[in-house]
Amino acid sequence: MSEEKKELTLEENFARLEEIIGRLEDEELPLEEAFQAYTEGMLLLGQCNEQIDRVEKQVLKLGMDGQLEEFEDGEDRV
Amino acid sequence: MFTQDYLLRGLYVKGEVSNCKYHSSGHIYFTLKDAKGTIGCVMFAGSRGGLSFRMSEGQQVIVGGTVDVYERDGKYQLYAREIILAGSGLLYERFERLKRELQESGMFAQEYKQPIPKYIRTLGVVTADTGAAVRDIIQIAGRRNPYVQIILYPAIVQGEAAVKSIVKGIRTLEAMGVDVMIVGRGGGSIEDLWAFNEREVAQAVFDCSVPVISAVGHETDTTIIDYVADLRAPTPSAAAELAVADVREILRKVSMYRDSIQRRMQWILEGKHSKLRHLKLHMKVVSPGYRLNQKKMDVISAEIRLREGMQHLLEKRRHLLELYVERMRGLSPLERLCSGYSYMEDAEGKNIRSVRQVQEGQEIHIMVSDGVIDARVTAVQALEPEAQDG
Repeated sequence: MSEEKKELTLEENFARLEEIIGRLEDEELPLEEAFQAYTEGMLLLGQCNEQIDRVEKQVLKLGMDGQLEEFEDGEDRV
Repeated sequence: MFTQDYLLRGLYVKGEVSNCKYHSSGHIYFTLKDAKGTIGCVMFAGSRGGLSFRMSEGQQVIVGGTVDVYERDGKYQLYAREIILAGSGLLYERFERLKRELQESGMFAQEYKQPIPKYIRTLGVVTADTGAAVRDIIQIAGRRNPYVQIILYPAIVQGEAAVKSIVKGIRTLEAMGVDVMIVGRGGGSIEDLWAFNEREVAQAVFDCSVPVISAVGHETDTTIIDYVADLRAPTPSAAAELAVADVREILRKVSMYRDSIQRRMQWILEGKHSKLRHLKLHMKVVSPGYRLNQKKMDVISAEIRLREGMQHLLEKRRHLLELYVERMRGLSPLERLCSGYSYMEDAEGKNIRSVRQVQEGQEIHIMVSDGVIDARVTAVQALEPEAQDG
């Protein structure tokens, strides 16, 4: 129920990319603007890749003291 | 005897379930016991409509049915028509009351539902740190996108401390700024799930600024927070699927965008290039140099046509000439020599046409087709006097 966001989310980036592609599809688009759009698109793609952040994450568990620790599967502790 | 007894035909017995067996035929066999005694019970497949939950060991139930003798063993049994969880009536009433109240207050309204972001980076989970629910969530979320950070708040999900623990979990993860939160637990009895029917938990879910997916119990279990949450998942596994998009799909989308942008840009450049080529060509056509060349070409072509015309004319004349030559040849004296005639000359080269031009002993030359014969006249004879003047 809050609207404020710090940076563009992946979703917003995707929406922006759709927009850029839409502009590039315009036959009348001047070359300079096409280049601008293209550059922006490539930048956004880079951001998307960063956002996907392809590093496998450990599951973190919040301890009672507010510290995060690595979560080990509780299977053997049931 | 029993079947005629009014009391034994419409009877309710309260007790704890034990030895419960769901037979493959659909009949359920179990024993009902309390502090004082036990009774064997059976619910036939045909009466299953009277049971709305899965019976398990240790449950307190009230069984409605008929007591009769099982003749083979000579024992009396309780034939169940209806089984309800003891105490659940009260809980059900509380559930309905709170549901109605919260509904009237607008907490279930669609307009308060936050959309679940499709691509998240951190996923908060409020559930017990042991048991199937947390494992299912971690496994499924990890499989779909191992790059999503999962933060687990190990909550107490049943019993006295559950409500406080769950509420604290929601608030803590909200403060940490996770993108989406799953709140729930695995399956259990209505009592086990009860914390998720409490007002404080519902309020915490409602107040949470982070989108909340509820995931309590099995598909058939519905709790109050399912109505308040931004999205209700039937199970914890399903919640993980709803919260975490498949990373392969995301990567595919990114590369699709890349291809698309590059293709468009290439297309635009190609288009401009082709336009440039076209203009260049046009410029060339209208340039003075091109026009001059064009004129030169015209001159050359005229010259060629002229020459060809001339040649044609000459050839025609030559042909005509050949025809004359042919005709001339027919008239040639040599031609006559060839066909057996000959031509005579006297020593002075004068053509001999008459016997009067020669005398006996005179030398003459006779031309034939392939040479000259030198001869001497041995006699001269005139044919007829009149013919000699010819």
